[in-house]
Amino acid sequence: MKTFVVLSRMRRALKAASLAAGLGAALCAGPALCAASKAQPPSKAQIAEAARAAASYTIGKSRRPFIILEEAARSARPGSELRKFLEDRLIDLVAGSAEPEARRLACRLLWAVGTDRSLPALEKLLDDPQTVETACFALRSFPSPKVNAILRRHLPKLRGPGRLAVINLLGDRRDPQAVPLLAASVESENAAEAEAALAALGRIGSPKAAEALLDFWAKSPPPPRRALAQALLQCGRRLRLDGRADQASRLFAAVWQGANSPRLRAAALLGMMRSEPERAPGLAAAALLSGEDLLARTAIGQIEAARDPRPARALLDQIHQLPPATEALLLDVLPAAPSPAAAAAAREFLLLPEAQPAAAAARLLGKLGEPADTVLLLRALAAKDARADAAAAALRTLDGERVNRILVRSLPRLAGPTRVRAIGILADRRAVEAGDALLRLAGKGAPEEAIAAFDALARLLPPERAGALVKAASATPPGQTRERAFRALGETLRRGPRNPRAAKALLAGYAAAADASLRAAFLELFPIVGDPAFLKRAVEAAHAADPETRAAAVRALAAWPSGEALEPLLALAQSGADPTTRTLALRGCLRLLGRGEAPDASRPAAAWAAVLRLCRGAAEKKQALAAMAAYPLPETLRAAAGMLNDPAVRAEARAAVKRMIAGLQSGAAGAAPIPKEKLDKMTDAQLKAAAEQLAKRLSSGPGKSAER
Amino acid sequence: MTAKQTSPQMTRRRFLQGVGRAAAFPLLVSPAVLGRAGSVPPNSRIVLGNIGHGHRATAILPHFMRFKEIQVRGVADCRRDRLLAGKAQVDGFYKNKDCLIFDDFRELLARPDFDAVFLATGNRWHGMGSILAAKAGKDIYSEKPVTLTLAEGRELVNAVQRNGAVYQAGHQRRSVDSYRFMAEVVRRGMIGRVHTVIMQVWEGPAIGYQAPSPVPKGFNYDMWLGQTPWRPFCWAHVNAWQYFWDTAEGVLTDMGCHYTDLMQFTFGTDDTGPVEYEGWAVFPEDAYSETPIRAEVRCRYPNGVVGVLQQRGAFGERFIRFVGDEGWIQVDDETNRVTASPASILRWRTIGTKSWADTGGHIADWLHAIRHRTRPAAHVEAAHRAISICQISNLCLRLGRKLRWDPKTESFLDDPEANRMRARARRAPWHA
Repeated sequence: MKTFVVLSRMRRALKAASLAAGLGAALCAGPALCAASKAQPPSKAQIAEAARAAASYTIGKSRRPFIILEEAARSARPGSELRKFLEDRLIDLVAGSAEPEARRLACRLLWAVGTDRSLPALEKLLDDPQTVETACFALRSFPSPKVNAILRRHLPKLRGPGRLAVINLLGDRRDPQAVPLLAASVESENAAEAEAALAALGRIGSPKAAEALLDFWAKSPPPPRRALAQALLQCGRRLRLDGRADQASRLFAAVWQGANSPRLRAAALLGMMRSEPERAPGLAAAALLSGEDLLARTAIGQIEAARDPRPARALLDQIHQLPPATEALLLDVLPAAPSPAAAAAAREFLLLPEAQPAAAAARLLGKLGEPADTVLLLRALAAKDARADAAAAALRTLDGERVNRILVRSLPRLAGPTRVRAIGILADRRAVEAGDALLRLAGKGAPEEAIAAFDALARLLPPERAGALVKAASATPPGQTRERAFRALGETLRRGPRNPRAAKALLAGYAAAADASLRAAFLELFPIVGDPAFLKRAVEAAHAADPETRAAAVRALAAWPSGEALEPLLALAQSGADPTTRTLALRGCLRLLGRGEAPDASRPAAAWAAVLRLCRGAAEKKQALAAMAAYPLPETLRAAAGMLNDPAVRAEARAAVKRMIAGLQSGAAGAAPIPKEKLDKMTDAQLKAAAEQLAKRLSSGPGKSAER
Repeated sequence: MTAKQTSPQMTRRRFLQGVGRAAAFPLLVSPAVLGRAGSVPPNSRIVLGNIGHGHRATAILPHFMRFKEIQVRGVADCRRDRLLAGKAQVDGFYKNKDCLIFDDFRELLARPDFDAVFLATGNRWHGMGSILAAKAGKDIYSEKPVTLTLAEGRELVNAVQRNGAVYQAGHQRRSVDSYRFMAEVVRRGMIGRVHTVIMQVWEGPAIGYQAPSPVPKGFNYDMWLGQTPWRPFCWAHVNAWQYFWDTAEGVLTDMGCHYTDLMQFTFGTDDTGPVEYEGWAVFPEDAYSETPIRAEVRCRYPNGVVGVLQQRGAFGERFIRFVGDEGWIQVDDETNRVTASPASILRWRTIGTKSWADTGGHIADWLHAIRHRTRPAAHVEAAHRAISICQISNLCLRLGRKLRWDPKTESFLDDPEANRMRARARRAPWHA
């Protein structure tokens, strides 16, 4: 035990904490707060003084005297002399003429530390309706056996809330001798008293309490029915826990037979199932056949909670007599373990008219995992209700290549929408063997099937089979199908960008492309492979007469994965055939430079300079600044600093310059780095001067290391 | 539709054998009747009542109302202003005037047309209100902390189980991606053997003194106090009830229970808990409020794992971190940001953007449990055990000594005083 409650005297103003909690100045004003530390416990004199002061405590005054008494209770060992002294002072507070709130707080301390010595004073509080509940608080868990006798003695004298409080306390303390008194209270005309007494009898839960409750249950007219039923249930539970299952069952059975409310009957059913586990299957069956939805669901929930599938299996015989919702619940709780009866039920229910049990049947077949059920699940996939989703989920989880083969074989026989779903399932299953069938559908199927097939191929087809996909894609009409076909081709190429067969097929497809749109689609895939042969074709295409081909080629070059494309892009940015080409090319240059891709790695500054000269509009300059900021060089720093004068890009220039200065400072010798806060406060002119100074230092010194 | 409705002897199996299975399609039942296409059959809708309509309910109720399976039909609050605000919110959502209002929530519970309740009262009412709801045959979604005392926790569990009620605690982090990911990482041993769990909640505050004042019009103060001992009305208490032992137990329980719940959830110890507690606290030296300003409690599980519940720092700095012998993982509550060491662990995380503020998943889990009469994610036993850790921590601090706890009997070993403090007498007429 390292530390205990700390009681030191370190003062700490925690006003701020109060404010942070949003409590308002009025609430947090005042207290000078301090920490407490493990110090000497308060002395007897301090305790006596605190107790004297505490007597006049009312809300709004300082609680300090009670804080000292609480500290004393914490630090004085139980049974110690100091603890006895403290208890005596608390007794004085309780018995004297202290303010009500002071008595209450004293009783709260006695709740934890009081001994039999406090009982006379606390008993006296029971005589006064104003203080009964304060006494009950202190007596709640008093270990002394005398307490129950005191409470019983006072009960007949009490009226109103005090009487209810004592009734409640007798129930909380489970006083078996209070049963006759409480039973008398059940017959009170005061409904609140009758209910409190019933609940107290339920909490006591003794055999005698049970008998009393059963007597009331049989009476006509009985006391408040729901409160009595609750008491029976509560008493039954207590008896069960005390090893009196037979008696408990009697109580539950009484509620089961006599209550009208489905909720109460469900609670009684639970009580019976828990008290007599061997009867649980029979009880569950009765509940299932009762026609009461809540009872049936409760029974099934209990079977699931017990993690014992036997009752569920036993109930399968009666499944046809249940309403559909209950059938579904029962099927849902059947376990995944192989079971011919469960499988048979699932196969039957899968194709019944009601959606709920059919969906549950599909889920069960998914859990059972028999590949032979694939055909059946495919039939359910055609339904227009919840079973289709459940069947799809099951088809995704069934294990084995056999399932894939059945799915592939079934594709031609399925109706359009179902076939589309099945294609998606094949893709989810990563069924590579579906490639040929999907390629056929992609080429000849209806548009939505072709799209689904291309989407599946995008996820499945190995790159060495890209040739087949090139052919299929080349045969598609312009529009959505072609778009998806080329997306599939792109995904396939990305899985193997260095695959020579795939690259060859792509080039062949491009060469054979019959129209500009098709050529453009191929061109846009070139960066995926990105080798010199493709670069050469792309550069050629960038100068084609046809604008669609030209634009696609420039886009491809702009997206090129390596710096080899920078030079042709620069040339296009300078002298492209049209403004769109020039703009696209310039953006490609900026992208490549921003990634650190320069054709001549030893001279990136020259490439930047060339690109910056081409930036004319504000949008291009902003893009250049953003890219340069991540690529700090003395030259780029100078260029960015130069743009500080341009009002259209001043903000971007400031951001770039600051970032570059921060990035370059570590490589610059000769001056202390400028902290970020100082950089933030600089005017444009100051920033420009600092940038030029730094660039100069780097250009002349060993700061060359800053070039990457 | 079913054969049974036309003849009890005619099962659908026989029916289908007669006409052939192909006849089962196409289905004749309208998707709307089956609850498809976004609609829910009226008789399978859960009619919900909201008990307590303060800030929390205002924030959370729309999450309930967005579920088509739920119809919020009533609000209960002992403060008239809040009651009317609740009605306005519900009616505004449904664009009608149907929301019923109840000054006394017992009237709502007594109505058979309400299936379930959402409790978003002050802490003092969470446990008692849930017990009464369970006894009234309602399913329950209760905000945390779920109870005031250890004894009330066990009473709550008993009442819920006895009545077969479906109870979901507002420990919604169990249904949130970031925390579930953290739990999965720990369970899979990706940070090695876990030895420590650090749970940080914020400091303070301390509430100043204020004289009592008259109870405002439209404020049923007696109902507001509920089971807690009577004391004169004072705004300093009413607005900051979290920091008084009678009405709550301070930040350690108020927020701490979320983290202890995650610790329990991750370890799969929902029916048990730590066995030893020790710690220190800084209490206000002279303030109206009573609960700690700063504190730290270390609780130890039987296998040696230590949970450190610490109250320090600012509100935005709360977090939970699992530390193992090969790494650690942490979720920052304010930002829902997950960090870990080694950082490569984070690669396994699927992208999820929902934070604790979105309770939709948690409510969906509750609805599923209601339909199937099964236990939801934050079921009552789990919730009780999670708050127990905080309650025992507070008792440890209030008593100023190490406590040893037997999770089986739910009692302290060799400490009669601590055992007495497990339960408090309730003010009449409230009883379990």
